[in-house]
Amino acid sequence: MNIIHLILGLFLAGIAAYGIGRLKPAAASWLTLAASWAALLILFLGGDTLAGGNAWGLLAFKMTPLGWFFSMTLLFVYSTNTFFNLSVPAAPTRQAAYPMLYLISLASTIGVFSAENWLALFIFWEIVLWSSTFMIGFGKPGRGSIIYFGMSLLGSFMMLFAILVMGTAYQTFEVKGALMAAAQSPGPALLVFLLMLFSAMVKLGITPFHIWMPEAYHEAPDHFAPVLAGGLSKLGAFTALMVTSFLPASTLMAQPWQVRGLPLLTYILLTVSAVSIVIGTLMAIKQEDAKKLLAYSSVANSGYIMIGMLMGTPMSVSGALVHLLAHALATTVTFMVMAAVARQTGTTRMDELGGLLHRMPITFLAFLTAILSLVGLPPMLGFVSKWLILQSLASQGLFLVAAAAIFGSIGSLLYAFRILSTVFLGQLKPKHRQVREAPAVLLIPLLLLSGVTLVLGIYPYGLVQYTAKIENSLGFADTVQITGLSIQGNNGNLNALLIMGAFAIGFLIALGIFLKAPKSRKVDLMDTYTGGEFIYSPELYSYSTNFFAPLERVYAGLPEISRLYEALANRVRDLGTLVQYLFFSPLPSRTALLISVVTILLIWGEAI
Amino acid sequence: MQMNPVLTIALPLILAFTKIMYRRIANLFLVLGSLLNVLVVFFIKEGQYLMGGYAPPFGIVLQVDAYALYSLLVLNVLFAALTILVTKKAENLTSSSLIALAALNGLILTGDLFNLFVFLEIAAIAAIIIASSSKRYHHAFHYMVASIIGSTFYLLGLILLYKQYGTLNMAKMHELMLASPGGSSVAVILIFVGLAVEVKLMPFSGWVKGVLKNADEWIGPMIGAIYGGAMMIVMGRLFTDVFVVSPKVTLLLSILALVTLVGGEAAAYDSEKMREILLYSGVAQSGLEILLILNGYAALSFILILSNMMAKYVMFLLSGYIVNAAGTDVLGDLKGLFRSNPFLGFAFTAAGLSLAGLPLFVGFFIKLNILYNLMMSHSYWLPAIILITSLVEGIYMLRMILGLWQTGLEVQETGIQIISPSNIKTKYAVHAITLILSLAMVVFGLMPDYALDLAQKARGNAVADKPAMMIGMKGGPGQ
Amino acid sequence: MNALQSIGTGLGMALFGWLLQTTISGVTRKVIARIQKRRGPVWYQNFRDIMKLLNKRSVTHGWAFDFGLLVALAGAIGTAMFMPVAGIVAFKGFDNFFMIIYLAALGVFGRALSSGSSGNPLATIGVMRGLTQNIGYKVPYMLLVIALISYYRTSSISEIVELQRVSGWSVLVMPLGFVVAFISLHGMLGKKPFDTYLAPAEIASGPLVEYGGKQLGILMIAHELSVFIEVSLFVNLFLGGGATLPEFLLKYAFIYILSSSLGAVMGRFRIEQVVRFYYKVPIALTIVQILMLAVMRGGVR
Repeated sequence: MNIIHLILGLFLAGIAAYGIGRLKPAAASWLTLAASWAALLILFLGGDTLAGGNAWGLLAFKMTPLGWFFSMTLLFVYSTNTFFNLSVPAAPTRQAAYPMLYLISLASTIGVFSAENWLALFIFWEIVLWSSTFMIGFGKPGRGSIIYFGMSLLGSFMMLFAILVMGTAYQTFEVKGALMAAAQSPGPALLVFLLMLFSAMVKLGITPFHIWMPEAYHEAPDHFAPVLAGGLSKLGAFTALMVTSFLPASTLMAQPWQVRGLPLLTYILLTVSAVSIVIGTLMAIKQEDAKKLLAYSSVANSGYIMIGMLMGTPMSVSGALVHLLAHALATTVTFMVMAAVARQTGTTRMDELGGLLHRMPITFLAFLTAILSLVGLPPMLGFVSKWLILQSLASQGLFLVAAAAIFGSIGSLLYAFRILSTVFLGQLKPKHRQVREAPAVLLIPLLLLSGVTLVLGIYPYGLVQYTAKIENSLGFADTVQITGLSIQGNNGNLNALLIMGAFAIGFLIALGIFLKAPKSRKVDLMDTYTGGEFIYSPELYSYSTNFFAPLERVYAGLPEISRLYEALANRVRDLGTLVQYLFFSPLPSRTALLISVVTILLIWGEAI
Repeated sequence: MQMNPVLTIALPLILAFTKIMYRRIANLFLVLGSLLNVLVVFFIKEGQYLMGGYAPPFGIVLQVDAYALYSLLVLNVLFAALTILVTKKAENLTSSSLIALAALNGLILTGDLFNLFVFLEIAAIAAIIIASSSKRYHHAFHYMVASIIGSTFYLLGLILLYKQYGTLNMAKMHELMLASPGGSSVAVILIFVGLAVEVKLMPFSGWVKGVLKNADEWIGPMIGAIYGGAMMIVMGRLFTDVFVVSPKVTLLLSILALVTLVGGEAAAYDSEKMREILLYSGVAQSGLEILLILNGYAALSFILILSNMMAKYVMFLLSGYIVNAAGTDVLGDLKGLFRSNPFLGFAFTAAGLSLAGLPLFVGFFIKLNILYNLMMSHSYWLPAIILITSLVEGIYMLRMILGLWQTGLEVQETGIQIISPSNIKTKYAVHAITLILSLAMVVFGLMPDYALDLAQKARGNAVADKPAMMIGMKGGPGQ
Repeated sequence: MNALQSIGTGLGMALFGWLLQTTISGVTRKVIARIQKRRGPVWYQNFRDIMKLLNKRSVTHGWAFDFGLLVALAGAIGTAMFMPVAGIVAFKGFDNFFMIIYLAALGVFGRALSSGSSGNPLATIGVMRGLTQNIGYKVPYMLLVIALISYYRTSSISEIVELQRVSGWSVLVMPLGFVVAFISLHGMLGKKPFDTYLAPAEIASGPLVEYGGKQLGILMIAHELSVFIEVSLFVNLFLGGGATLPEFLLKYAFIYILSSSLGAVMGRFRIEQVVRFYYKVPIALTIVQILMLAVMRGGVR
């Protein structure tokens, strides 16, 4: 069994799933489940030494620690999400192609992470792109899928341009070799660096390329949004990390200007990522739809990942990789929870929800775990990564970026509480009285993913050790250090187990006090202090719309970047209208005139 | 067995005239004639075929090289498929269709510039008759005016060339032009303009919109795909094999091509109707093709022409059926159409994705090679412009395709299709042929090397060819 | 020091912190009463309140209501266990600033979770205001501390205390920063003008509206502990901690009573005024301070 078999097998399973799906949709969903879990098992057992090889010419594969890490992350997201494919609500229209596209995009992501040359990587990258575009198209109607496609295509073409520049300037398409060659000789290396990073930023959703994220996540089918958010956006991190480690910005200019020991270029990109954190946070705070809120939180979190990678110190890169995994796990859970909520209640608008904690307690616990990890609180995995990244920022003394990181970190507390409070806490809407807990098949992935988040948060050492291995393979001189149970930072140590222990002791004490004290009486949610008002309707007795209104007023004037793209698209349209008017008039006389005049002009032009 | 290529011209011509006597089985004539032609093409061998027994510079000569042969093959197969699929529509047009076939074959085969003119005229007349079958005579008239002006310019150029070089044989002409370059630029420009009207280059293509925006399943593939492709093949022949064009003229004409590329894509982006999008995108594609031809990328332009021809053929054909069934081609009214017609949807999607140059389809490798080769000549600007236009193209293409797959909000909420004729009743043959063509795009997309090699071989000896370095699945330079 | 001993020390620290802060807040109540020309309660009134509440029967709004409280107290106890006081530190080498901030935030989150699940929108509004205020004061504060960490090249609180003993208090290193940090601490403690999230007159005491009995008792314990964490963090970071316990206690009491007394004589901001305020003056001062540090350059080591 090698990578080629794995990818080919998934492709074939995808095609088979289409055939089966036309006859029996449920069977196709089971096939996606079986195929993706089998792939996960194979990849897990094979490890990062899983054999590669030349499939056929360009399509040559080789597994690297970095590729394995990414493949495992994505495969885990994909395969846990297959449980959600099982319980797709009976769609009014047929979706036989969905299982096929699902498996094809899964196969292609593995292709991206294990490709030996840039062309193969690009081919798989594009297959992922169009297959996921069609899968988004199965969701709500709207412009989301096309905005996703357009922005991603912009990114892909930037990448293609960079690939071709490397291919022509250095005569090689080999993934590592081409970047190393670029690092050796300046030439167009700066162009390659920038285009590659921009394309990664599009995929990761860093400002100003983030506009597709809220639209696409919002419109994607609820059972596909987890993969889109938790999995596919991570493709960008893969190329970005390779570029920043094989073609570091410090090699791009002979005498780079430095800011705090970093090349100016890196500093600028760091600032862009920092802006991404701030904008993502601010926008997330003011969304009314849970999926859009989570989408903007992805924008912010991608900023952390990018910062970690750009700083390029062993600790920051470890932080980026751990954060990538933490965010993948957590955001997958949050979107899955939203899918479950939408399945049980039919909406993801926060003002129509509330109090679901009393109806869906297990879903709530999974969501709580994920949200805590997103915010970066211990004992979840998100804490470990944020700790690593903040440590690096502090030791590098990058205050501006650090300020953004802190802002994002605290801001995440705001929007996390908002979504938690409006969906699960507060008053239960009367129409949701009959809502039941999500079916067991949906709870399996939720518990699995949040369990991993918690376990890795308490015991992250194996994971951090593996990031050290990745750093080794990327050619870092030194890697992040672990001694015993403590992760050695530049200016402090982290012992996740100890923190959990302290928390557990505290919890036991609290529990002791709580149990010792007299038992309290359970009362209804409407049985509250109202300040003298008489209340009857739970719908009115909740606080969810315009949640952070006072804060939103402070930054109400923030311009939206999507306007810029709209303006650009409108200019293209205008040009199109002009062309249609000038050159495609229905009048034969005008055509005759144009032909004659242009011919004369051509002859004249030739004469001078 | 070996057949004389002149049969591909003579056979349809003879059938066209004998058919007059057998009105009732006219359709049979058309179908049989075009199928016979396909058969004949299979037995043609490469070489020079003389007519009337005179030596090349003086007699009429048919130039059958790999370029002509592959083009003939694709053209005749597509034509035959169309006659089988759309027999009903072609009922009153059998003669003109057969004449059109003869003329197009002649255009591709002939080795003589004057013969080319004759075939050009015949083809144009046939096309005008075909176009007027939609009963929109105004647009047919528009087309006629444009093509008459075009052919007049062509003739003018021809006369100038003859005056200067004293021959109309292509091979001879090329030799003479190489020997004494310069002085022929005006003639070359005139001939270029004459053909540019037919290949839809932008300032000259005013007629395209009228003819194609109302095209049915017969006119669309015929004028939009087959005619356009054949004319472009001729353009490729003249500007890579025959004329020696001065750099200044190349630059001037390249600018026109570039304007066409950019303007066409923008116009397509602006459109909301399926056929308009297709026709503008066709205009833009021809800009790219001419750009490659003018700059001597013979092999690349060749394969681009053929693959575009096939993709456009599929899309125009299907859009014709869609309009028949739904009565409109406004994209907003056709939402979710492919949900109930998945096979048509698949064919349309594959053709569209190939046209947009996405991987897994042959269009990707063609575009990749174009960009790679342009970049190898150390120009970053041209590839950048092509990529930007590709971006625009990809967006409107996917917008169209997604719109046709994606159901509207009403449908999602109620579960009821609003458009009643959502089931397009077509013959299985339509499914079969469009599916075969789109599967071919996938197969060549997975194994592009064969196609690329063939194109390379076919055009490797083209006089103006820049040696292209092809990247296929098997790898390429630097691998 | 073996593991059990460390845990014992940590627990002792938490207990000490609670006793200390509950006492001092009792004393402060007295002080403020005198400022406002009242007699005020006895200094151990807070102990009395907590004991009384823990023994009273009360109501609950479901398991998350109680669970959040437990998380709040657990977070507070867990954080307090790491706090170095007067040279005593339970887990040497792990009293990391970021860790303390984030673990304390877990407690805050637990409190928010609990009051959100009560179903009372007044509580939710209170939490919203609290979080909004949080985003106001935390950014300048954390930024300053990061500057400190970058200056001392360590994020261990006890090590920072040690280094201050060598080179003088941080207040001398960054005087402007000290002012900003104090303003931030003022907001952290929720003293006027930054007590908008409680604002009894407007939102019926905000997050606390639904609490009574043992729930309120636990909340009070957690609150005292988090005040202990905040104030001793400030003392450790900016005032050189304390070599001996009395020195530490003196600084601690001074800072807390100062902040409370200032609060006693001020009015209240509206919530967006809080954010606007913090993002104008303190951030500007912080930036000036960081620039000054950058000019001075050079760390301790």
